[in-house]
Amino acid sequence: MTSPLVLHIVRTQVSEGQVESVDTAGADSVDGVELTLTAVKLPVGLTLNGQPLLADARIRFQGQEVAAVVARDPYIATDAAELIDVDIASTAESPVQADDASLEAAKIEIRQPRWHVAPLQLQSCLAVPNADGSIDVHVMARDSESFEVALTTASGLPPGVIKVHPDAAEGRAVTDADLVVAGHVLTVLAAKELSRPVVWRETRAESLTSGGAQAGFVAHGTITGTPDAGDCQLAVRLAVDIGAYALDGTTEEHRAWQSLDWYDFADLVVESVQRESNLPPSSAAGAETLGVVFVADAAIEELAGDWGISRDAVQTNLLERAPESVRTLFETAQLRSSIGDPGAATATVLAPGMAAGVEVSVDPSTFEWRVQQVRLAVGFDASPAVRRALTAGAQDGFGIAAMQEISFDEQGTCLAATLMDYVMPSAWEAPLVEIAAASGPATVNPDTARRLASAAVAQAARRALASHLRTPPGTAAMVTPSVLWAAAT
Amino acid sequence: MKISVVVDGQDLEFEAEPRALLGQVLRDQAGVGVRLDCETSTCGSCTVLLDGAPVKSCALLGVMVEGETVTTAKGLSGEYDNPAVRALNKDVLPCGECRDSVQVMVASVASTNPTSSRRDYARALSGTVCRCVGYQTILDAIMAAQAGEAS
Repeated sequence: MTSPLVLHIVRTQVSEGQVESVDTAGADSVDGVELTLTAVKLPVGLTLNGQPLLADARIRFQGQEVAAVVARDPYIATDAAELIDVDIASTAESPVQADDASLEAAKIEIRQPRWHVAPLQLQSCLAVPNADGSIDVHVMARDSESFEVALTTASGLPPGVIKVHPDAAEGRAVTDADLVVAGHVLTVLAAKELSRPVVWRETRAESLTSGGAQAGFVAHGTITGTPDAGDCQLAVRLAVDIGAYALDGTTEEHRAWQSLDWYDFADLVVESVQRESNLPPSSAAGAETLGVVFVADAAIEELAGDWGISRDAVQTNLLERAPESVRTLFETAQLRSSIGDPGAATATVLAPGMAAGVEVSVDPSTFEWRVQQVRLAVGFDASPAVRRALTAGAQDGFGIAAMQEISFDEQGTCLAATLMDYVMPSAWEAPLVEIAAASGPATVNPDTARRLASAAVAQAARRALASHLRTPPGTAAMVTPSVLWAAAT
Repeated sequence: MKISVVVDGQDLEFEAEPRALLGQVLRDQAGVGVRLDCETSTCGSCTVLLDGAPVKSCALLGVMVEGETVTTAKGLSGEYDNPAVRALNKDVLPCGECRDSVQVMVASVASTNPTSSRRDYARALSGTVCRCVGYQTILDAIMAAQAGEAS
């Protein structure tokens, strides 16, 4: 095969706006540029998840695709892309509306900083046209058949033209999402137009701003009840920002963890409020799981304040009415501190189908903290794949509580799209995870198990750090050393 | 500029863009399958051995390795072939994102000391980010393979 041409995508630097013009003349004149693409150059009517492949009018999120350059090598493509003149009129608005009328009754509000569903999974695509008119497409995908259908539809090509070959372009498979994005479609269209192989490889900055960044969300909770009557009721409403794309992950995730019985005992009512806004495409499922666990746990603390009793007393009150299986999970997950120093503390948090016991330690001189050990008690069958997911989820949970945040301004514009800001735990920092799994009819898929473990461990870590904090941890998205230091001085 | 490098035992001579990172040069000019992800020396996925020492190939310019020997995950044979590396299969690292880097780092540690401890491996892997299965799964597999070899 001859060396493939390289496709480079031009993306917006703003999160909201109106495309006034896209002028590719500068790029077209560069030696080595074979093709430039804009919305007006594409076949009419091509969309992906209801959105145009290249922005033609409204900008919906930072990093949205506006144009593309296909060139002889990546350096020419990058240089030529900078010569494309994109004029966007600003119409920036706040991306998340916290005053949604349906959330007026809310008592607890948690704003979780955006996190990335898969920050190490860059998209890429190699499209190779054949003499018979077919196009071999090499991508990262677990389910090549569904990917092929989605890519064919988005490309507007007849069925059978695109033949997807998974796991070949980079020798790896995607673990969390088989998402067809604009880059895949543009690569195929460019290869067809030029009758030459074209490759596209997403960069890290592109991924963090546009390629599946987890949306920010606002979770609201209310709680009512009396300590004696046993009629506690938690009601959680989640304003989950699903970004510019209408993904249906929420529904699947909802079904997955609602089949687990933990929240039954507290009459928890969960209602997701999906709203379209101008944030990146996202997987709402993970946000929803995090939101439910965080808000439910914070609601327990809120109830304690209303009743004037300790949080542990409320939790005991709730557990007394819980099914035996739930009490067993909670007791199994509880940890005793193995360290014995003043900076060590433990906490246990319930989540749908599981309980997470966590021990943290705080260095009194630097206020650095880490999760020393995790014990997960799960009420579902844990296959090897689920166990791996639980272990990884516990690791993620530490990261979510301690270090993972992508900063955005009020307009939803990413301020630092590198992994130097979005820090993840290293092998040296990762906690030791012990899993106590039940055997029974309940099953969950690995992705759900991972999200549950992430949420439960993150919240348990924050809970364990409560003695070091002035304000309840339920309202603190991340507990950094500076937060601990401020609370101590 | 034209450079000469031994990559995975092969003598290669190719044009290297002076501004390009070693990882980019290996991928784009030499046609060698090196992963590049963060390109800020954070994730470690681009780790290779440079004259036997692990380096992040996004932290060096390609033209800096003129006349040197580069070993990628694809070239881990001979002194670098050991049970701990072979244990890092698709069951242990199913997504493969960090697989090459983990294999290179483990090969480096194991070739230096075949009885390295779990702490040795954890410290060596602290520059490689895995968000797929968690490090515990990886370290368990390495130690099990090493124990099997010892017995």
